[in-house]
Amino acid sequence: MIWYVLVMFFVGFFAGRFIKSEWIKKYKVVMVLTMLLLFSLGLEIGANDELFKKIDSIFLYGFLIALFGSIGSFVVGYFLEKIVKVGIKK
Amino acid sequence: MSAVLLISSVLIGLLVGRITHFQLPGNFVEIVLYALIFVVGIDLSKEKIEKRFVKDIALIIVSTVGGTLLSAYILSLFIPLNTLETLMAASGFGWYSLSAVIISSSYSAYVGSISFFANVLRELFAIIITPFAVKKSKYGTISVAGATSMDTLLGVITMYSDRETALISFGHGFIISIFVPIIVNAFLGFLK
Repeated sequence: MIWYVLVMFFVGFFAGRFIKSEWIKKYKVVMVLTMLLLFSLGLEIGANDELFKKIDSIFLYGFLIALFGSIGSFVVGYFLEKIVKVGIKK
Repeated sequence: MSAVLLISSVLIGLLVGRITHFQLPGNFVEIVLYALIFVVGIDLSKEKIEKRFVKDIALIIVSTVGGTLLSAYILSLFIPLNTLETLMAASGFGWYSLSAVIISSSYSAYVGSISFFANVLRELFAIIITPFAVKKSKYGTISVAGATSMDTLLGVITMYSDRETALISFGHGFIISIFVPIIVNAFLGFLK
């Protein structure tokens, strides 16, 4: 699947050299497609009974792992970016 | 507000799914994803990819993998899951469909489900924080997005930042996506 994603990106990337792209901003195409994708993901999760049966015990650990992982990677990223910017200024 | 619209999209989807149990046709989500990536590809083609992006992408990969695993290790000291299980569940870096399926089928449905939620929530956190966090730190925001920085979050990051950041985000997401099965498999190997 990851390969199809990559192929689609580069097909668009190269096609974009020959076609206009004003319509993407004008009709908010990225926004609309992102909303449709998120809605679809929500729908798939909501329709899955198995996931909702175990939700209480699994949710806590899932939440904690997501929270720690997100904070940890943001903090490391934040400081790496600071260090890089200082390096460029010097 | 775009962020409100995006979060509402997920919540409405959840609610509609809960009530109707409507099953989307097999690969509907993938097709929407491909369409999105295609459009973003066209949009980004107006930019030149510069060599300095390689350094940005490499540094963000370090913060994504390093930051996630380090904090998951700290968390594992306080919860009943063992260290390797916690690290493995965190190693989806937002790509919940892949990590959860691998873990459920070859190790434990319980840890697989935890991994699913951990990565779904990571994606949701990224959606929620991106509109304001990307102004504080591009590296940090892309790191939180993890593997989804090339697909779901690419659209969101593109909306709230510049085209350069979007290109870095895509490159980062692509490489992290390759890392997900490799890292999850490595932890599975240690657990067996």
